[in-house]
Amino acid sequence: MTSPPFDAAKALTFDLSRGQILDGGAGARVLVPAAGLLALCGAAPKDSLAAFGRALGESIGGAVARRFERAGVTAVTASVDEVANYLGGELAVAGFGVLAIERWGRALVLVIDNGPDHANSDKVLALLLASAVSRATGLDTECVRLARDGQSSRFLVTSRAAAEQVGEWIDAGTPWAEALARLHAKHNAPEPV
Amino acid sequence: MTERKLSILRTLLARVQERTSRSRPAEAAPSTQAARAEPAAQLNALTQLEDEVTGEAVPPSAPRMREAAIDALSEDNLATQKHQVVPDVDARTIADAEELDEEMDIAITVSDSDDAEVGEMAAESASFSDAPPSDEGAPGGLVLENETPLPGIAGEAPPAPARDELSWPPAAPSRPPPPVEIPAAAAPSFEPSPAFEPPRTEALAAAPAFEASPAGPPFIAPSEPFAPASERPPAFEAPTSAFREVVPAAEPLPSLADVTPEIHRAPVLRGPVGIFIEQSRIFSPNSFGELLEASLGLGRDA
Repeated sequence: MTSPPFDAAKALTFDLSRGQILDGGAGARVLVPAAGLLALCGAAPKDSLAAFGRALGESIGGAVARRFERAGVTAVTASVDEVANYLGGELAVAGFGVLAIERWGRALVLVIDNGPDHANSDKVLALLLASAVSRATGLDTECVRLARDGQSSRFLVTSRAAAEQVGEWIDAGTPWAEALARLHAKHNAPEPV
Repeated sequence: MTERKLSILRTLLARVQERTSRSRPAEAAPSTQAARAEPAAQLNALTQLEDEVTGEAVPPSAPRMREAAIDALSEDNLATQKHQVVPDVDARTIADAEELDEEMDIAITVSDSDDAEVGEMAAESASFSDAPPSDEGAPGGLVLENETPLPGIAGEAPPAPARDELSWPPAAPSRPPPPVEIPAAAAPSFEPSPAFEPPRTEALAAAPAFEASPAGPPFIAPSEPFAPASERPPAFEAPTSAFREVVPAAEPLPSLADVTPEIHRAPVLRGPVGIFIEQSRIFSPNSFGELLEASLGLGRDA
């Protein structure tokens, strides 16, 4: 069954009589400048930043899950295109850029174009995406940034252990494609006897 | 109809007789006798025809009358050529008639018969009609013009073969003869003069090529001797072909060997891409959950 395309109508409701911005059912939202918010994220402690990012992802992932529920499917059983449609729509409404989903072999890679242009934006995006996917699918996931090219950032969705290993390779200067190749090489290596 | 013609002829003869009795001298110059020989035969035939129709005896004054008529016909023969050269004959005839006070001008048209007999008479009458009166002042002018209709017979055309039966010398042509077209192949040695211009048809034939680009080279007529028609096209095609060479041709399309694909790919991806393609061939998820599980599985092995 094919889910309907993303409909941005009523994604946000500006209740000017009450001075509130309401989303599809998650509650009230606050419209704040992105630069101020990201500056706050850069100054916040790591746990606080993680908490903030996951809170954003929980909100977006919850909206995606509700849309799939209305369509009669789940994000796990849905196709990659359908997930890209709903998840990308919610990210765009929240102002976090355009989502694209790539598959590099067995690796799931999320690409954000035209996201917030700030040094701390990728940290927030990694926490946000991991939390959104986890909330939409019900699986515990982690995200690590592979690379940033201009307005485009690429994130690998994997387990916590793999994310930490890839993060180390990336920080050591390994190209992100080679890091993915190494990840696949370990997966395909014969188990030791 | 016959009575009308007879009356006309009687009137004609009476007027000629009256005129000759008044103005013509008795003797004619010997040099004119020879010139009168041929008109005399016609006049004799006319008078003989009149005698046969009327059945009357020839009056004693007939020879003199005939001589006067012969003189008139001789003068008319000369005036016929002038008549054909000068178009305004009637005006000149009237003017000459006014100058000759003592001379007699008679204009009779005979052209109203259907039967053969009257047609022959009309033909002979027409021989007189082509002779306008003499403008030299010669006495005895007799004019029979079929252009002047008589009352009662107006509007009827004279018989057509009248002119063909004339025995007079051929008249001078009133217009220059039509130009004789010389075959093109018969003039190969024609040398163009300095003011020679090519035929206009050839210039028009080459005109569209020069209208296509005003900036093209000016047209230059071929300087070599004018060739026959069969050889003209090459002489005029030369400037046209030279003009076409001036027009910049479109840039030739590249051949298939020159077209090479451009692949924009980061050098760091050339090796791993092969691996990922192989992995993509082995693994083909049917849902987002399968892809997510596979990606999470990479981390477990690590």
